[in-house]
Amino acid sequence: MRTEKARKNIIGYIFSSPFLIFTLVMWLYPFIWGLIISFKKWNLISPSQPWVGLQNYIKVIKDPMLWIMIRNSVYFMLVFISLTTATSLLVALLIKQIPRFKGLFITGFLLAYVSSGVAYSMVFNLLFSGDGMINNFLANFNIKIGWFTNPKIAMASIGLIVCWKFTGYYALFFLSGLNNISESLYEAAKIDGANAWQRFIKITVPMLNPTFVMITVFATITSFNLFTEPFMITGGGPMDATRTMMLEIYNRVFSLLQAGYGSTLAIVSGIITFIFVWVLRQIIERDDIYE
Amino acid sequence: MKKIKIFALTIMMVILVGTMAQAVTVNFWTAPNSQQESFWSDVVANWNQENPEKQINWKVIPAGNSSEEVILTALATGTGPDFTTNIFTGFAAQLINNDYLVPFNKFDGFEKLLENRSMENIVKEGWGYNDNYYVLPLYTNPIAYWWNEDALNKLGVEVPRTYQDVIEIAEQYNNPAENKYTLLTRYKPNWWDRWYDFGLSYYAAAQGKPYWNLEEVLFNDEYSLKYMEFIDTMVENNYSPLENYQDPVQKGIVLGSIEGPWNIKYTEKTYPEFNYVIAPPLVPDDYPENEEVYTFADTKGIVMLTKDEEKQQLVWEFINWYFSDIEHDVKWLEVTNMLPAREDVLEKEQFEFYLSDNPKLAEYAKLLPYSIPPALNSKTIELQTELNSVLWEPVIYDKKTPQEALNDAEKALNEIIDS
Repeated sequence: MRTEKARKNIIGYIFSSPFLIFTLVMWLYPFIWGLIISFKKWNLISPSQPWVGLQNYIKVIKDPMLWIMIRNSVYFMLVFISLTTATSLLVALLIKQIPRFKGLFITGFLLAYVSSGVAYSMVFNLLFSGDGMINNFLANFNIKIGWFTNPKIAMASIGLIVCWKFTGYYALFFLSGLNNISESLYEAAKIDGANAWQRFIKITVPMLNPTFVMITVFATITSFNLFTEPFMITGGGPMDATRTMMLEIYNRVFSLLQAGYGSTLAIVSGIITFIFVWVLRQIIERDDIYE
Repeated sequence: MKKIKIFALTIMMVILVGTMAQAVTVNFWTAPNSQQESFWSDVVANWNQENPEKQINWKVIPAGNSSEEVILTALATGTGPDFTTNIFTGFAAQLINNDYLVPFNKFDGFEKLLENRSMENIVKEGWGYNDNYYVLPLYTNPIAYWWNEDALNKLGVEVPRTYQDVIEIAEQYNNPAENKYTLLTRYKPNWWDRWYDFGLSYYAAAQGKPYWNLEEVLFNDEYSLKYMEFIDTMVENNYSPLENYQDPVQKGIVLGSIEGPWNIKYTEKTYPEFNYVIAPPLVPDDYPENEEVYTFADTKGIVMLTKDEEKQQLVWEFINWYFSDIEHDVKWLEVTNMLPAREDVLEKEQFEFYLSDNPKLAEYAKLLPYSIPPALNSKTIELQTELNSVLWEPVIYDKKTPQEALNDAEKALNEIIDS
């Protein structure tokens, strides 16, 4: 009996070993190495790596740039979550109504998600440029917008691009959530005289709560991990308006060769992201939907 | 018969494998742009054909934000090249301080090589570090202003020379509603962008004086103040656009902009109707009219990184072979449209022949004697990143006066140098 159990355990470990090995090599090892570096002063290419204790952590917390980056991420998060949740829910509702070729539409929307961040950033940079298609259209109304050069709106413009990327992807989650809502709930509400808007607010939205929570968690992590779009389009400017944690980590490590400081920032960034996700879950997660 | 054939084939394979085992191979990286890629591909192929036992394994520097970042990452992970091009003085100094570069002057024939390629003064005056020479310059691109010739003629004005000339032209010409601006101002926070506006203009105003050295910042003076006040005026009056444009000078969106010679061929091909004048950098209003104007030189060189002595010898042989033949520089000029870092570019008939057929590039060549490489400091990237945050952006986004920004920049940059 014991031998049979041991045999099953071994088989289990064999099957899960590719993932365990992958996690150990690609996640745990870099994480521990990053943690060690965060207590050192190292310029990435020098053999000398002196220990500096908590010096890097104190510098990061005292650095005004940290608060600028948190502000930028929160600004992005507000634009991105509100916009993407609305557009993806709308897309999901529309796709649910379509009687045929649902797969085709879903694939079409997903193309944005799988396209190269570098490529679409360049395309959007041209579209939003001073003589790009958007500003040429706005010129008809005597309007010209410095989408990526006005510090007040540069981050919102990046939010628009990332929203374009994620709408189709998040719509899939909403579609799956919508398909899980029992039709009998809508039929009962109809008999009780509820109109379409009331059915949406009283049934669809509460029943989609787990999907909202999941998308908010994903979107929050995306907000704090934002890199490709500001890297390609604005470089963190103008006036640090699009400087994000990931961009700063990259700049510190690879441009300024401050590997210790960059690693510390990566750990602090992870902690901040965790706190935001936890707080948001506390606010929007509900356990009483099915009661 | 069949057995003899198999035996002969085996012997040949053994010989071939033996020969391959003896061949030394070195990894060589070059700048990631199509012209240089085409040039080095041919040069390395010729070398490899002539030297089957001394092979060069060539590739372009992998894609990244900047060559410097890619090379540093490669060095940190132990995947760097044995020698590479595309190195500017500040980056070389950074590599030297971390003991990555091999001085070329330790090899026999170094002096002879400098003489053969006619680059003795260039190397000894601008590329030395700690009494050694770690970089051999490949090219020198003077940077200049391009002015839309048709628009200037239409306005009936001369090519502007001073800041005030530009402001006067802007008062007549500028019309943002019609996408007509006067001067392009780069707003992007890329550290290297400050070479092409601040660095260039400081050299022009201060007659070639460096904006910093190894010990301290030198730019908080009347020259940079006048330039930053000029930029402030241009942006404040909307004479310089802050939106992003693709090829704004070629499309007639701006009247003038700062450009390098690498854009000549692209412009000829893409905008054949565009007529423009190449002029030295703008200078302050009190700059003497008959004085020559200095400019910034975008100049990069080749460095050796390998610590293996056998490989070092191969790299040195290749470099000797490359620099000793003037035809390589002639071909370089033809393929890349960038001026070789030689003192005789304006004298040798091989170059004259090409320059007479390419008058726009000849205009750049005239600036060579007054073209100065980046001011030397091993913390160039950090300094220019800070220069952007503390000086450039606060002035163009009207957060500080030019003098306040200069004072703050001097303090912040000196702290970086001292750290």
